[in-house]
Amino acid sequence: MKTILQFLKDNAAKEADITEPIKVSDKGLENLRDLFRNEFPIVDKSKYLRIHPQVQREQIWSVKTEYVDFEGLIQEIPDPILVWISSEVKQLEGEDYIRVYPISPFTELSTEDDEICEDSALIGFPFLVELWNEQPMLSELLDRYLGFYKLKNENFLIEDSLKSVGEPRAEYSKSIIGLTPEQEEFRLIEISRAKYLNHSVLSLLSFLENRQEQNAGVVISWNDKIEYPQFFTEQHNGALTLLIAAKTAIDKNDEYWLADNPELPFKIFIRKDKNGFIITVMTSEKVRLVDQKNTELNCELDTQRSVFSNIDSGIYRLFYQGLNSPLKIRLK
Amino acid sequence: MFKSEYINELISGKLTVAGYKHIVSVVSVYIKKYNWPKSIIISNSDFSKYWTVEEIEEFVHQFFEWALTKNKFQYLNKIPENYQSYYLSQILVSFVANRIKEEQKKAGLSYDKCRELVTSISKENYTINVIDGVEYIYNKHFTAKEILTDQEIELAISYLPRIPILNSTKHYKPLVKLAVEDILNAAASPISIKKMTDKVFQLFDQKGFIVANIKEDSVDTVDELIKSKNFDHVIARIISNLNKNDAKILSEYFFKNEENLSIGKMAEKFKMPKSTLHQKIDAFKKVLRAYYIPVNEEEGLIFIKQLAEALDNSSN
Repeated sequence: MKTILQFLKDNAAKEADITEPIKVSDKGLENLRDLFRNEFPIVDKSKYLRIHPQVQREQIWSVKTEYVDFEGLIQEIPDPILVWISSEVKQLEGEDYIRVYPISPFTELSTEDDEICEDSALIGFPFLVELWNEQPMLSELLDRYLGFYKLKNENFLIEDSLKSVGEPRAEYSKSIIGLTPEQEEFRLIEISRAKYLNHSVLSLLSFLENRQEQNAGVVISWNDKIEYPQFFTEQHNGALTLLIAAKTAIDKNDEYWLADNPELPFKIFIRKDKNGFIITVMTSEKVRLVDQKNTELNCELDTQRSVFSNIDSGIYRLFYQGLNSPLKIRLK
Repeated sequence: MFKSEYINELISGKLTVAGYKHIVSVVSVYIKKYNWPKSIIISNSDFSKYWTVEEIEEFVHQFFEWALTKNKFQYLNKIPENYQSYYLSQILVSFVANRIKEEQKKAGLSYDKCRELVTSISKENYTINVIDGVEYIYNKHFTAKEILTDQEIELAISYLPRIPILNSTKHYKPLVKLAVEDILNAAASPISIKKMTDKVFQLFDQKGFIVANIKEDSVDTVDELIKSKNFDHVIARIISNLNKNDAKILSEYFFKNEENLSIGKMAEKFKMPKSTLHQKIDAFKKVLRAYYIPVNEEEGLIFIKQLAEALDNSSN
């Protein structure tokens, strides 16, 4: 079992990208071809059904191997994760999230009390549902629907039975099972890997805690740095108020976020009106703003600035020639 | 990481040279990275720890043979494409873990492992005193005067029951711990760690590794048959699962290999992959070991002669 644990700890799958030049024998190739030649006479070309059903409890999904978290940082995992959904979709400040159990193909490391599906026909191989590793995650991380699986032990999902014990589910399960050192280490590795999932919710919570206003927030990130721009409220004098009110529907208070970091080659003003956010980049150079679907947003240019208006909540990438990587702006 | 395109080539029986090189190369990286022992190759007779390319190829072949036997690719089309590579790595790692486990089972508890465990248990649970440069252990504080002579200790522990180690034994430490405790209680004397290791090792009954897979009742019957030098029934059991072709191959390999052909050459002769031949020979050796262990050379020769004849008859 140490072999398996070593593999899981090392994130080996990705590291083995490094292959080495090798001189192989023709006979070896021929033998291997022969081995498979008549094994699968009809190769099923129909890959997984590309259906994308409504997210529900008891579904199995694969998870994206990369995502941009709520604060704009890229999160990656070398080995893909599959999950079994244990809750209906819930909302946190308008963001969909679910609770999931990761699924592992390493059934050798299961205990007698673990939930194991032996039927390979479901997702292609027998698997273990990690009932001791429940995690929250944003629904947007789900990648592909794989199937539906009903737990054999339904009682496990009865929240009351766990509430009565007064312990978190993971600790409860762990305490009632006598684990071998290998099983214990396996669980610790898997729980550690699952941080990738719960980080999506943690970064949302971090954003909500740090956002500048109760109803809106902005965070900017670049080169793994995060900055919450300062929020300003300035009162205009009476003459200007009418002009602005007429043109922008902004009330007499001018409220804006200002990203003014010396490491950035420009200042960014962000405002919000009834049509959405307005991003003003103070530079005469060309900048491009791209949304999550890679669509470039229209821009109003003048000699001093580029203005993008009517922007919805979401994450955007700002491209500028002087920056190595795009600047990410999260608006909510 | 295994590339999906090559996995698909392999499954469809159309593996290209590039695909084969890729697969062997990825396995080679894993072998080096994790320092997998060569004992995971069935019937490997070379005890050097360095892998040759031929051995890696052989291992790759054995792995895929095993995977096919276990239906690991039956529902490959259901596995998401971006998970297939990880899946292949996973079954490879599981295969290796399984092989290592089997090898450990074959070996039982080695003397070195026993010494390592006795030393660690002594440090954890007992009082250690160095007397005349020798480390002694006991379950309480002691002086040199309390140490009994070797003969006294031998006599005191000679009545201890042996502790069986079976194929199913997963962890040796609790058993070693028990043995150390039994020996100290029976001897009622401090004992040197070296002597303790010898005694613990002797206390273990590891015959389970030699006569594995035989049911208790059949052992008695087989023993009776062997005593009368009539091996017909034993041999009938040994060859009962062999078909005509297998009998011919085994007869040739064990008894008619006058040209001293290597397994590779034999595999060519019988038009089968080397690993398949390895597997057949290994399986046969296991059955042989399980059913019969010669009492002496003379009896062994009689048995071999009868076995050769029986194989010869089955192959015709």
